[in-house]
Amino acid sequence: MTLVVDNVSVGFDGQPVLQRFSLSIPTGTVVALTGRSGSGKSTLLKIVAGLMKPTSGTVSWDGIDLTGVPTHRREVGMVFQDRVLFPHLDVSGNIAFGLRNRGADKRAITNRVGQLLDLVGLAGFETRRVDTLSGGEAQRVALARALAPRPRVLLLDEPLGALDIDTRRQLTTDLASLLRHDGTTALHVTHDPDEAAQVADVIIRMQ
Amino acid sequence: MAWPAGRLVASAFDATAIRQVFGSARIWRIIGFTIGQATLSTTVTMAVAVPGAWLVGRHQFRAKRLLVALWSAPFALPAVVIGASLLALLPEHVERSLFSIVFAHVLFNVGMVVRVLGDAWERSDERIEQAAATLGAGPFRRNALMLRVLAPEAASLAGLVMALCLTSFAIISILGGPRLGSIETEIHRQTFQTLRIDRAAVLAVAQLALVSTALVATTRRRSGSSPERRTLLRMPRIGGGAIISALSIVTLLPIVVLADRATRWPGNTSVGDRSAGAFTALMEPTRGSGLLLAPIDSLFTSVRAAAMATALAVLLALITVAAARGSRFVDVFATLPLAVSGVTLGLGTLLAFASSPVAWRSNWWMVPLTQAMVAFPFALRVLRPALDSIDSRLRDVAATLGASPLHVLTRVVAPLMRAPLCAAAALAGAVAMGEFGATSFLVRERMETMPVAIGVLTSRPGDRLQTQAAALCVILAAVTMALTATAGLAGRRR
Repeated sequence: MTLVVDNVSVGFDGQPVLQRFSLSIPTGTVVALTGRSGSGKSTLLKIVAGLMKPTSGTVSWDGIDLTGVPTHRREVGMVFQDRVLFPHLDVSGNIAFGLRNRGADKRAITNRVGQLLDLVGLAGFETRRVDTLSGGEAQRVALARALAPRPRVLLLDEPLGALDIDTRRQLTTDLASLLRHDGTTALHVTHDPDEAAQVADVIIRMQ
Repeated sequence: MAWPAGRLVASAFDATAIRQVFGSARIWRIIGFTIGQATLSTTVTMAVAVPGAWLVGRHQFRAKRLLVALWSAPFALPAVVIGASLLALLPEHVERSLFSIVFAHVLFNVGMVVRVLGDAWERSDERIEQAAATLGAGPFRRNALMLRVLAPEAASLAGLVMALCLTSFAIISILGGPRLGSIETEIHRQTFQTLRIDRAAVLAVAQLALVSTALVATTRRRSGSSPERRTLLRMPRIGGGAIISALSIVTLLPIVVLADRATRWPGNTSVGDRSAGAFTALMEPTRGSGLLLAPIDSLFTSVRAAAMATALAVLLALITVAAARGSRFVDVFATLPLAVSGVTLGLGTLLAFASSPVAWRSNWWMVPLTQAMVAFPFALRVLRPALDSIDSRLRDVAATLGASPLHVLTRVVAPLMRAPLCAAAALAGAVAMGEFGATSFLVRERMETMPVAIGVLTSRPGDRLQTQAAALCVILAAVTMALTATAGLAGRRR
């Protein structure tokens, strides 16, 4: 199974951001996207997620065209740069959110939430309010939440960009082992070449 | 909203009615009085408020927040309560005069101006003043300079006060007596006493033009504000206490006297004794029905109005979020009712829903619907910023986690909007509860709202009726203040 981005173009205010961009990612591969600001890295993630429509080109998974499929049916996971957690839900509520949308039963939800909290090193944080979490803890919860429904592709938009250097170093190691542990297919946007080298199987520098 | 406005404007295009209205010396006297009292009220309000804003914006003193909240409280009170409080305070020979009308307008508006202008002063860039000081400007010249810097804010506030005084119906109905009338009271008189709705429509359109001119003429580009609040000084020894005393007397004394009056039931026991006689008398069958019905009816009507206003505001707020392109249209649509007075809206509704197939003006839902039209811009002003402040990425994340647009709305947006929704509903309820202008055109016998009942009682002679009016005012003020406070608290809990 492969994620294919084929000849995708998009622009803002008449300025092209992506021009006939193509990419093919076999399942289980982690691709890091690096490059200067405005080179279209985050835009590409939004197009894959269905949050933005390309002016031309297609996105497909396993030969099925996803271009017209709405975001909530694409089975992708996304993690943003800074804390984007649901403030009205606690830690386990956030992680369970996607599982509930996909109709998982209560026991399956509890098991998966517990398993992911162990994986991201936050066991015991189930009932914590999200506004009491540190930046690093919040990003671990966001990662667990995105992984919970077992997405086809995980989209990481500079997920460690807002963290201090020590937390960032620790989380880079954890993220790399987590992605390998689950065999997750991922597109990882980063400005940090060390982080890209540690996490990704393939590095693409966008111009 | 559009249908009543359209019918009103259509009715105003009657050459005979236009000639009769603008050919009458009496009408010109009324227009002159309307503009004159509004100009005088605005001038006095600004003259009292500017020293207050200077004190609040530049200085720190004990109980500052409490005092500013107390001074602004009359702005949240229904205008009939303000009118009745002046009747309770002033001696008989001045209680229905230009003086009492101006006093009531100052009492109503001054705290709001002090709060808003004071806040702008506190947020103004203090480096301007520091630069002036290095160039040799003393304290007086520096304050004069800051007043020049804040002139756009002051002009906009003066325009708002002017518009409120031009459209003031309840205060002039109560304090104008038979001699003094404004365009608003004349519209009411032409509709119900001389039964010349065509003339009333001409006056309503003229009024709308006058208010729009006042608002447009005073809108200036705001001066830039600093994100940091300025360093506040200690309260000045000379003048500080006098300003606080003057503002407190102007804004609080009439309300205190009104509350005192409500507890002095004439003829019950010896003079001066306090009792709940006026409140218990509300239950006696007077004028065919116990006046206690008014609070109960008012409560039900304003609950319905609040529900309608909040539902409409939610719908419009969601439209603006869903379609960024339509937001400008929604902004204009939502601001329109603020420029249209309650009287104009009431008359428009009366005209629009008078004949088949839309002869609905006597239906039970017409009063709450009209009140909802008055209240919904306030609800929208609470809901829109709250909705805008929800990080759009939360919706994006929810969608990537499999939430359909409906689920995003019910599982993400709705839980985050609980507190702002409560605030919007409470504020809409408070506005509906105190609404007098539009309601007085539509209300039916035995279905009176509290403001209408107060208006009727204050227009009649007799100590007992005046004390009953004061008692009703106390109930109305307590309910609206409780609703406004709820809105404030819920709005802060995010």
